[in-house]
Amino acid sequence: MKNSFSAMARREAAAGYLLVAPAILLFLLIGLFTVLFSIGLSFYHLGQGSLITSAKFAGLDNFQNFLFGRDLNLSRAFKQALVNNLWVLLSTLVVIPIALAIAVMLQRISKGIRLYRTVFLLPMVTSSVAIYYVWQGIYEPEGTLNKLLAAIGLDSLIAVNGWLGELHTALPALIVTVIWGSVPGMMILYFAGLQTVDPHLYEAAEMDGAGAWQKIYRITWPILRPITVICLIMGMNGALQIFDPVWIMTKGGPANATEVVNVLVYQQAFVNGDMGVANAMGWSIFVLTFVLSLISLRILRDKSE
Amino acid sequence: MKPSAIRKIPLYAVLTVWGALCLYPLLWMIGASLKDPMDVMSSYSLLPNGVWHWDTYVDVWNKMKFFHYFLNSVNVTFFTILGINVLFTMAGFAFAKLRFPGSNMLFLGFLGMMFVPGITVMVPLYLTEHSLGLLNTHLGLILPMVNGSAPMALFLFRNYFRTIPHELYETAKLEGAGILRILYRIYIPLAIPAIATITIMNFLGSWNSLVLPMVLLNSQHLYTLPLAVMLLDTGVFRQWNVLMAGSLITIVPVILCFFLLQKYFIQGLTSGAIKS
Repeated sequence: MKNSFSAMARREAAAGYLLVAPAILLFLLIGLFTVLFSIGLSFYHLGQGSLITSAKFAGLDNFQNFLFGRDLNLSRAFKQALVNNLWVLLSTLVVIPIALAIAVMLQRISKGIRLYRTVFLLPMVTSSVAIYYVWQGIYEPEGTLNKLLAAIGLDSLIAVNGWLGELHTALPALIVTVIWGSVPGMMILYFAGLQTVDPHLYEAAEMDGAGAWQKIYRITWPILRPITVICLIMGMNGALQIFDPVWIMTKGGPANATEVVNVLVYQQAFVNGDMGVANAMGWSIFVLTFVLSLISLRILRDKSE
Repeated sequence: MKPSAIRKIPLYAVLTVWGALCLYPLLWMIGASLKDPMDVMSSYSLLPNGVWHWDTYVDVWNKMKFFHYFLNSVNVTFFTILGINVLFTMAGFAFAKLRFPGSNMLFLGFLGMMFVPGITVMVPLYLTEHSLGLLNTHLGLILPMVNGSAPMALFLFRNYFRTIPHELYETAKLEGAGILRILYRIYIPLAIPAIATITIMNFLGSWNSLVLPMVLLNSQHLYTLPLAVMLLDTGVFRQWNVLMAGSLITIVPVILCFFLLQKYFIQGLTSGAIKS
């Protein structure tokens, strides 16, 4: 009896390994190998167009190039890019309240919830390429935004070279677009969370004489807090890994005004052909993202206890 | 009107304004694609002045070879989704129902991959694929996309299979059904909602993907639609009507798919987040 049982268990284990084998093979090849390769590569010089065979060990050269000014232009661009990434990160603090407000309002109306929800999700669904070209059109010198300003008599605010064409307006304009694009993802999380609240809880609280603030603090916030943590982490990841809108709308210009790290990585690797440095930059921003995520997770967890 | 309804008017007003902000770029895109090129920037109107240039679409579809790029996108997206569903229903089932040493560690290993964003490894991925001869092929684009969706797909499938009563598995096994048979005859048909969620999420992800094809495809004839749209961007003297017609061709399939499978899309967005 015991023997046949263990034979069955062995058959089950074998089947288990067989079923996960394809996923693991793919992971080893495309995932793990590439990640390890990538870490190693940060410490090697790879010349223009040349591949692994001609790589030379470079120690920390790659990191020194863009972190400590050995390559002055690159260092400057990297610093600017990092600062811009942090500006995008700060915009999360605008996205979250907007997303929450819209979710709360959507929860309160009685008719048309589905229609509004569908429309609100459109910015998230639409291909980034298509949507960011439209925004570029809106920001053009002759675009909708300038025309609108002229029509309401605010001619002094018009950006003559277009909102993405001037040093001091390019980044804010880009960030407005990013905020617009980030709201739907967080809004839908808040909305789903609010729907899990049992409406009877509010009624019961009212009968016990709880005020509006008490209801929010005791019933709503405990559900919204974990969602806010997720939104913050999502926002952080999105901000530090941003690529599509910048690449489509400005390619980092004018004069690095909208440069972000991943665009710099792409340009360094595939335009300038310096893959070692590009790779090292990619890992730096990844480590930063990871550490910031852990810190925010820790802080927000502690508060809850 | 009831007083409660009147109180809701401001809510509707604000929501409608936000809705208009969400819709405006889409409407602008449609309008611009139908306008005369000189007319795009010259007026407020979202509608063309005079003639509606449907011929722009014909040009983009034929002369700009968007039909060809469309097929490329269909090809890449179809096999990506197929690969994800086949590979990760199998693995998800194993993690949910079968006992084998190391299964927990393997599962956590897959989830851990979530933390490495695809964009960080684009340079080494390029080099890896170069040495494997996968660079500049659709397969070379499909494999990392399938692999990239592992954490979410495994998480979802495993949890979904776990909600299906275990007696079902035990009974089928006692009746002598093989494990693959149990998976494909019993579990897969019951997991259609999870498959729909994974399919719509990855349809959007793969169809809209920009960085991966930019890095991994060099030859124009292999380009997917987002890259093809970028080919239409001619710099300073943009032909907005052509660019927007190409953009619209690109987004119509995703928007249709979104309308059809919206319920599952929302489930996909919220499932992981709300539970954890």
